[in-house]
Amino acid sequence: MRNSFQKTLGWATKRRPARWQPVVLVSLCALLPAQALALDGAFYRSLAIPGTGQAHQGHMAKAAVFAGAAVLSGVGLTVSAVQYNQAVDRFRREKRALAALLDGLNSGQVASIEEINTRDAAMRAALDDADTRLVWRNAFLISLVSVYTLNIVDVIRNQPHDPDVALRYSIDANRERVLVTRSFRF
Amino acid sequence: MIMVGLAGTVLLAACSRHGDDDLVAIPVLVLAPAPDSVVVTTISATEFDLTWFVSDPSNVLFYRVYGSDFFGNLFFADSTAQNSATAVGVLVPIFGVSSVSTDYVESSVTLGVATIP
Repeated sequence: MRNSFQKTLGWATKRRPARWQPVVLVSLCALLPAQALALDGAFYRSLAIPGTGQAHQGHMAKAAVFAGAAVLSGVGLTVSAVQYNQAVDRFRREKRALAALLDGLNSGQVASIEEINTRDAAMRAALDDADTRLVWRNAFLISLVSVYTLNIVDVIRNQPHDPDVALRYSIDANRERVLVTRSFRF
Repeated sequence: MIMVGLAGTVLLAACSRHGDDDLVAIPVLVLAPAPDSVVVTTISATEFDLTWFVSDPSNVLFYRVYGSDFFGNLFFADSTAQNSATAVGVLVPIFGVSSVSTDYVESSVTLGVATIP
């Protein structure tokens, strides 16, 4: 027959909770279940590199899919981010050139109508280009985040179930105190 | 999962955006019509005399006269407030004339060929 006891790790106070205490509470709520699930290391592996947790669990095909999708999304994100930044730089350069032309007109410098129209068209084309590349960059970013999230969800869902393992931490909070309880079984 | 979602949102927000940049709006500019019928009236050993026609000279501040080299590249030669230019001191076979409006916007260049009378 199993014995168990509890050890209280938290604090009790009559004072009003400080502003940072809810932040600590939310962080604990997010982190403690993660620790309880990370029994065989697959969770942390997938947390570090997508696909490695699945490989650790022996699901090599899924590991390859997640790793490949993450690499593709990462490369796509990098390339599209660089291209987007270049398009934004080009747009700002054309914008400055057109503004300089118009300022020159105000100070009596001659500018041809063809040059003004050319600069204006170049500025608008660069803006359209930046808009398009922004969509691609965000799509790759969303893809990367989605692959990363699905990768973690998958490794949690395929965690080997051990009936002897229960959630080892519990949190009890009210307006006056927060109790974090650590359970031991032996 | 919440943390991953938050990280993605922060990453999206932290990346550079161009949406805050407005386009440069071109104000309403006074334009001058381009010259027409550019003719070389006199050719001497060292100078040319040019004349041209403008449909509406009311918005013209002055004219710019260009020469053209044998490769078609224009270079500035002279400016004048008259509808003609005398004693343009460049000896090239092709001339160009443009009008500059009161807003200092230059029209397109009209070319004229110097022919020996």
